[in-house]
Parts: sequence; C-alpha cells; structure tokens
Amino acid sequence: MPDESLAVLKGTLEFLALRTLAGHEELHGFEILDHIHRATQQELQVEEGALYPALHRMEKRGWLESRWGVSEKGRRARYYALTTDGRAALGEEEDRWARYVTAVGRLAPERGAGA
Amino acid sequence: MTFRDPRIEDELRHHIEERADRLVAEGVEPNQARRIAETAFGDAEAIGREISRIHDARRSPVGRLLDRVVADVGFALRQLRRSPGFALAATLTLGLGIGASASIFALVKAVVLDPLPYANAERLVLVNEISPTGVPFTVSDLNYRDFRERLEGVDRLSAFSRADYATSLDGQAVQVVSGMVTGDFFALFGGTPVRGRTFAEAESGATPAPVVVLSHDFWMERYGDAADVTGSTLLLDDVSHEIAGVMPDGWEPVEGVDVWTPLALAFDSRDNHDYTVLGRLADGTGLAGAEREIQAEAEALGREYPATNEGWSAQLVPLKEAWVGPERRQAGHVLLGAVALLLLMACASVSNLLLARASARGREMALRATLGAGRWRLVQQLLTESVLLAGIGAALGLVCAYLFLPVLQALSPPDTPRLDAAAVSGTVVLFAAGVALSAAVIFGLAPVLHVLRDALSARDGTRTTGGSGDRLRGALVAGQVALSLTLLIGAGALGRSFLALQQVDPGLPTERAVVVPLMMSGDRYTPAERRTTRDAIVAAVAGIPAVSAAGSTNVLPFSGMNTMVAVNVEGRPTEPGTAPFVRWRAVSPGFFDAAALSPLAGRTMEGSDYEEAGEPVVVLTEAMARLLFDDPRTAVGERVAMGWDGRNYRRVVGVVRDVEDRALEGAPPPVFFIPDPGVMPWVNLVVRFRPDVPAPTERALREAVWSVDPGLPVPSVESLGDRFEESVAGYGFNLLIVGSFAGVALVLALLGIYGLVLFSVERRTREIGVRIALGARPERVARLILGQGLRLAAVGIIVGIALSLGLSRFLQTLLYGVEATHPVHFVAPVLVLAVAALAATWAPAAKATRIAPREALVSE
Repeated sequence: MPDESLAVLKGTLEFLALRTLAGHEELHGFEILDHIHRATQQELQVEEGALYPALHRMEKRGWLESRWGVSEKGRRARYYALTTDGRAALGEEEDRWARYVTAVGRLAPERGAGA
Repeated sequence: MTFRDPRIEDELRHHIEERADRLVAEGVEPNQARRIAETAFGDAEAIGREISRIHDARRSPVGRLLDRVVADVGFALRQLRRSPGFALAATLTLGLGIGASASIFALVKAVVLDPLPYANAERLVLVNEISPTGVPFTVSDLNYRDFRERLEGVDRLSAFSRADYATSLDGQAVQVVSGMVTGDFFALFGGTPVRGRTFAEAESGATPAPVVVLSHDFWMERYGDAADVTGSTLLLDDVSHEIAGVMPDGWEPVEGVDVWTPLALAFDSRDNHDYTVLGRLADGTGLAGAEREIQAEAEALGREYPATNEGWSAQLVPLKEAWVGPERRQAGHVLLGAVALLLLMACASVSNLLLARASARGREMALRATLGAGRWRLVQQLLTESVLLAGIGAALGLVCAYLFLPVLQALSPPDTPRLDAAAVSGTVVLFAAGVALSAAVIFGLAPVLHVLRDALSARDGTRTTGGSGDRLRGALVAGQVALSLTLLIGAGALGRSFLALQQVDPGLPTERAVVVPLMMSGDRYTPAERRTTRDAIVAAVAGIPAVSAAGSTNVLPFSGMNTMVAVNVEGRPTEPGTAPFVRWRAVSPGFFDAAALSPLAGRTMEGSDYEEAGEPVVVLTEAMARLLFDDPRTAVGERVAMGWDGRNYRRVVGVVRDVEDRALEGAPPPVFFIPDPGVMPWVNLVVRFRPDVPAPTERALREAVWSVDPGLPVPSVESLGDRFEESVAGYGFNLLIVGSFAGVALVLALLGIYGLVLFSVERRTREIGVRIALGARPERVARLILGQGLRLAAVGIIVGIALSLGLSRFLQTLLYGVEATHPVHFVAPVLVLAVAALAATWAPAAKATRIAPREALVSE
C-alpha cells in the first residue's frame, strides 16, 4: 500500500472508522466521528474534516460503500457501510495494529499490575 | 480550475450543521456555534479539493466534465425535490407558457409562416395587373401570353382558373371543383404524378385537350385506393375527359381542388382579367429586379395597345404573402406577440419564485461560499437549476401544446386554410426547446445576480439585508404588471371591436335564410337555357310552402368573393383612373324579396327588366347613390354606366338600404345591382323562410332544384347566419386567445404583487414591530404596506401604458370599428389592475397591522 509511510494519523483515522462501521449497519460521517470521539474519550485531537478524505479514499478502494439517505434530523446525509472487502481489510488492519501495539507495548515500561 | 461535485459540499456542510446543532443544544449561541463548528472542521475548501482529487485521479478532462454535469443536474434535482411546492409552481408556469407558445407557433407556422410546402416556395410569385386607379387585378389572356414570352426574370409563368363542373356519382349530380391550369403549373409546384402523367403546356391554351389529372383525395374517395384509372374517362359537364394521371397525397397548391384540367385560353382579350398568373423567379433574379422588368413590359404593352393597356402596370407579389393575405398574417403576428408577452410573464413569475427561494437559501449559499465554492461554481449550479427547470417546463410544454393544438384548431375560424397541417412537428419541438433555453437565461439571470451579491457579501462578513433582491423582485413584479396590463388593454380593444361587430347590421337579415350555391357552367347551358332554367329553379324553390322568397346573386354572400367595376354618371365624363371603383351584383328575379331589401326610393327589379328589349336598369344602395349623386333621393331616373367610357347606360330605377355581403370591413360599401339575363354561371340562391312554419329540409330544397334540372349539383345548403358568423369568426378567435392570455397574466401579476408584499412584511416584522411599539396606528402601518404594493403597480401601469401605445399599430390591424388608442381601452384595464393590486396587497397589509411588538422584537 503506497500510503503506508504517511502520517500515522491517517492510518489511525481509517482504522478507527473501519472499526466503528464494523459495529453498525451504516453511519454518516458525523456519527462515525461521534463514535470515534466517544471511543477515544475525546483524546484524538484532529480537525474533524480530515475524516472525509479518509472515508472517500476507502470507498475508492472498495472497502466502503455509500448512499444518500435522510438522517434522524431529516437532513440529507451520506451513509457509509462496510463492504466484504472492507471487512477483510479491517481484519488485516487489526492484525497490523495488534502487532504495532504489541511492539509499542514492549518498548513501554509496564505500569500498574504487579508493581 | 478544479471541477467539484456539489455532493461533496453537501456532505461537508451536513457535518458542520450537525456540529453546530450539537453546540446549540449545549447552550451555545447559534452564530457562535456555527463559527466554532467551522473552525473545528478545518479548511473545508482544501478538504473538498482533496476529496475531488481522490475521485478525479484517473478521469480524463471530458470524463470530469461529464461527472460535473451529472453531479450538477443531480444536485439541481435534489434542490427541486427539497421544495416540491416551488418546483411544481415553477414547472407548471413554464409548462403552460411554453405550451401556449408552442401551440400558437404550430398554428401560425402552418397557416401564416409556412403556407406553401413546396420546393423553392419562397421564389414563387403571383402576377397582378394594376389598373390606372391602382387596383390589383388578375391577368388577361393576351397579356399573360405576352408576359410569358417576354419576361426573362420569371420562369414557368402559368395561368390558373377555377371551374365547378357537374358529374354524376351513384346516379346523383355532384360538383367537381376543377383547377384549370396551363401545363407548366405542375412543374411550378414540383408535382410528379403517382400514376400516369400530367399534361403538357401544349395541351392547354387555344384548344385544350380533354384530359383530367385527379387529386389524390378525389382519387381515393371516388375510386378507392390504388385503383389504376388512367386511360378511363370522367364526365365533366357531360364532356368525356380521359384520366391522364393522379397527383401525390398532399399536393394541393390550391385548396379544395378535386381535379386538374387544361386551361382553355382563347387569346382574344386584354381587358378581361380572368386568370390567376403564377411564376417562379429565375435563378439569379431578385423580386425587385423581376418586378422592374414586368413593369417595363406592362408599360410597353400600354404603348402597343393603348385602347386596353394604357395606364396599366403590373406587380409581383410573393405567393406566400398573396395566399396568406394581410389579415391572417397580421392576426398571426399579433397572436405570436401576445403569446410572447405571456411567456415573458411566465418567466418573470418563475424568476420571482427563484428569487424568493434564493432569499430563503441565503444561508445555504453563504455556507457553500464558505465551503469554498467559487462564485462561478455557484453561478453554474444556479444556471443548471434554471436549465433543468426549463427542460422540465419544455417537456411539460410539449405535452400541453399537444393538448392545446386541437382546441385551437377547433376554435379557429373554419375557413382558415391549412389549419389541418398544424402539428407538433420537429420544428415545433425545436422551437419549444429554443424558447425554454431563452426562458432559462431570462428567468435564471435575476437569481444569479442576487445570489452572487448575497453569497459574496456573506463571505466577506457583511450582513445581508436582501436589498438587491428586493429591488430585483420589485422590478420583476412591476414588469409583470406592465405585461399583464398590455395584454388586458389588447383584450379590451379586441372585446370592444367584437361588440361593435355584433351591433353591425350587415343589411342582409341573416335569420331564417339559407344560401344554395349553384354553378351553371357554360358547357351545359346556353345563356337562354340558363336563364329559363334558373328562373324555373327560383320559382320551384319559392314554391316550397315554407319559403317566403327566393332569388339568386352572382356572388355568394359572406364568401369573401367580390366583383368590382368602375362607374360613371351620364353627363359627367371621367378620365380613366378617376371613375369610382365599386361592387356590383347581378341578380335574378326575386332576389330583393329574398334579401329583404325594399326600395327606399323608386322600385326594385321587375320581370320586364330581364328582357333584352327593355331599357337596361340598375338599383343602387344608399351608399352608392350618395357616392354618385350626393342626395340619394335624386338618383332615381339618372343614368349610369359601368366602366368610364360612357357607353351602355343604365337607368337608375331604385335605391335600397346599404348591404354588406362580403366581410365587415368598415363603412358600408357602395354597391349596385343589375338584372342578370342569364349570362352569369354563378347562381347563388338566397332563400328566405316564413317565420310561422317550420323551415324546409335540405332535401326539399335539393329536390326543388332537381325537379327542374336533375343533372345540376347542389353541393351545399348553408344557413346565411352561419356564413355571417364564419366571416367574423376571426375576431372572436383573436379575442378569445388574447383575452385568456390577459386573464392568466393578470392572475400571475397579482400573485407576484401578493407574494412580494407578503415577503417584505415578513422581512420587516421587526421594523414594523418597532413602529407599533412606538405608537404607530394600524392605519399608518397598513398605508405603509399598501403604498409599497401600489407603488409597484403604478410603475407597472405606466410602463404598460407606454408598451401598449407602442404596440397599438399592430393591434389596430385586428380591430373593427374601434381605435386601438381609444382612452376607454386604457382606463378600464388600469382600473381593473389598480383595484386588483389593492386587493392583492390587502391581506399582507392587514397582517402587518396585527404584528405584536414583543414577538417582532425577539423574532431575530
């Protein structure tokens, strides 16, 4: 994947969006971001708009599909859903993240338990 | 320039709105919330560009353009779906406007613009000889021959005349209308027979060949489809004609012609102007050049044959113009003009709707400008919306045209030529598309101007007051008032003209009377036979118990036909060209009773007036007597002659009241009547019924004719009243069309005023609230609002009056007996509009007076 060397943030956003969508049938952008914010307890400090290029890129790759629908508030909104490809990609990403987290974890000093 | 899918903006905007809503729910002030949401979102424009790049990565420039168009159209469609009320109002208004235009255009195209569906039709010309008094005549046979031999600028000069023959079908006498033509006539109109042949130039002329070429309709009706009848014979007035060929379907240079026969030309006269002469401008010759040539030849003929041709000139008239006639052409132009006004009206209404919506969409537009949509991008999207509206309007309009056209055809004056040829054709579809596109530009312009200003000022942080939009809408509404007033004034003038027409007495009582046109052509009767037969027929018809009187005249009343001649009074010699040129009618015994014309002075005709031996007599109408003798009472006993050379005087034996038997055109025309001793083949029976018993049946009238001559066709029996109605039907049609346009326009204008004033009351709620809080009385507030509506109406009325004055000379051509610029035509519509405008402003004004100051002050 050519983007792999790009900023972690981008990959992170994609991963977080994929995971969020994995738990729902379909969501629009604001809902996705809302979930991410809640899941990360507002820790992720990004410009909210940055989510959208990520969503479009994944759609272009075939991981997501989108449709225009009407939101709960009656507004027209673009809804995203995970495709089969997207689910597979999420699996790979999760593996990669697990390895990454493990790697990072090895470097970091253990805290808490057993101290 | 990056081409951007407006859906990207939609998506980003949705996010910002959601965020702002969330903040507002948390207690943040709305404007503040929006600013925070926008900041949190980041550089929306850059994000939008990035997303565009993701999608455009592999697209060619054409593909991107296509994407953009598809996206813009989708966006526009969604905008329309979002406000279905607006979409419905706008597309219906446009659809009706375009439908009205397209159907009127289809009608005018068939009847006026495109009356000759033949190759090179624009090069076909009609030749008129012009009398020394400047009256156009058809052409005499010798002059035709000389023109044909000498003219180089006009090809295929052909002569035409019409004859009604008798033939029999299933044992009954029927009339066959023959177009008698010289051989070149077929080539002139590009006629190639579908069966057999036409006839050659040499077969017409001094010794015409006994051949006949059938029209397609006649062939189908009489012989059935595809029967090869060439070589068989057809009896025309008892003379056997060989069927030479059959013309193709739709080849009908002269309406109503059943068959074509070779024209008999004796070549013996220069002053019997009996033939319609047609030709085609030679290649490389213009109308003006060809006309100079024929005028020079006419002058040469005048020198060569001074007795008959001195002072005569000639003219060439484009056939299209000649056959449509000025009345129909003017009516066509006025109707097109009226429908153009209606269409402008529809455009103004849609423009107004768009402006109103643009104001409502001001925030959305501002946000989209914030999101980085460039101003041209916004303009493109707005124009896409306009074009889409126009496209839907055009489709709807074509459906409307398809529905309107048969109605228009049914309402049109029945004698309108080529009415059936009107159709929603490819040209009409193109016309509708062109109209729709122009309309889109016209009505799309104002919202573009408005939105550009608003959106840009919003981006620059200035607060929008909607001032430019209000001014634009005000101008539009004033324009609507002006257009509707113009149509109202036109309809009013046409209406008064129509009323004037109803009050005109044609002098020929039309109730309980019929006309029966008979053609007693020369091949069947000698003059002596014709007279005895005619008199016997008149007597037989008059003998029907329910008939009170019967008689005949050479000109069928209200048919548009006419016979005219110069007259002079004994003892007052005139020069050629100075004698009055008047109508004459040759009548049978009984005519004056049948026409209900009793003598005002002297007597009408008696039996002895028809005898060769007696003194020739003449009966004048009042206008005729006044023209020749100033005081009609002194006319009786004087002698007058037809022509100007003072020969063949006739004694004036009586004066009758004025009669109009042609079409109502103005003051009653001077007419004189002479007894017809049997020379006229045209025997048009006028039959008056007794008031006290049921009218006789058509069958009884036909039987009476056939009891005298079973071989004489009786093509029709028509009520004189119907004929009169038909002759003035054009006035009613024009009134109906312009009147209904005016009605629609008035409604649209009132809706415009109402909408604008209401809108401005809503916008000024706060200001009005302040005024009321400061103690302004309700009347003052009402006056404020009413004043606004009435100011608009006043501006519109002034412009409308100016527009009407400018257009009055076109309208005048359609009016009978009234002046287009008569003040009454202006006063009434202005009053109607002013009162209606007041009514339309009333509800918003009343609403303004009920504004509660407290609510008004917190409404922002």
